[in-house]
Amino acid sequence: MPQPTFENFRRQELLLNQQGEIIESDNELFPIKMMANLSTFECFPLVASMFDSFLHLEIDATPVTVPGVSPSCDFLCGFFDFSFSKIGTIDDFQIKWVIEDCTDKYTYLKEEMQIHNDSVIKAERDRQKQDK
Amino acid sequence: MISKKVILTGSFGVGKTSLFNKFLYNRFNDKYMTTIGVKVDKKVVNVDGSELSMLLWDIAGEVSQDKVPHSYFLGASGIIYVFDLTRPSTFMNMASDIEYLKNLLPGVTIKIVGNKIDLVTPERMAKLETELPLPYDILTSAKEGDQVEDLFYALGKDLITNATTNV
Repeated sequence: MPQPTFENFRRQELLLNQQGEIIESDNELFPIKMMANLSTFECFPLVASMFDSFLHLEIDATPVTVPGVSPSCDFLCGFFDFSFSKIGTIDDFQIKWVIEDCTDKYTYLKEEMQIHNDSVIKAERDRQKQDK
Repeated sequence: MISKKVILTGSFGVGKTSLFNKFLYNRFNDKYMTTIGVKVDKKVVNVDGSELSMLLWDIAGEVSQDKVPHSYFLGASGIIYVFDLTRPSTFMNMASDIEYLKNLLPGVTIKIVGNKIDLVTPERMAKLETELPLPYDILTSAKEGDQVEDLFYALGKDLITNATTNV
């Protein structure tokens, strides 16, 4: 059976300053006011855990893409590809963060993976029983 | 407060998500639900009076570590390499996986964890000791909660020691 294709992902673009604070957002997936008074790092521990590395990227280098993120905050549910790049100048730069909603793609892949993994584990168990 | 990124990795179905959920939320689900992509959450651990914020990455299991997206490892200080004591396929590639991770992240702290100890008899465990390609650091049961806290505490202790040594 042919694999389904997934395209035209909805996306949100944000700009972070060097402290990780949001300075711009197009709010296409979630309005940043939903973060209430919490910081980017509190809402997105993933960003907190990588932010130091982003500060050391080259300006305009290929973005770092983190695929299949399932955010732990309650205002963004599903699966998303996050990508981060450094823009501006060496002395005055920002981190560009793009969030792409790939929920349909990863939900499909998760179901496929569940079937595959279950069958591999079952085959291993069956082999172990036969060997005993 | 010191903050460190820690990744739970290993083959699929070994109990990475169960260890993650047990440690963070004291939750356990008997039904195996495969993980896709990555989920990140944090927990502050008190290690001998020092507070450490552990930023934990629960990632999709892969049979071989070179299949994990490189970006997942960016900035990681700790790795928890989990295998299933009841499934030899999950520790078959352990030596090459660990070597790969050490090359990718020089200086990273790695804990090798045999999970599902609740399903292993002492006789089988004795045999396993001779079959494992590398020595393990700790044996856990995410289901029973055995040694789960101990695992993260031991890792936290190493991470704090390394952080203070490298200052």
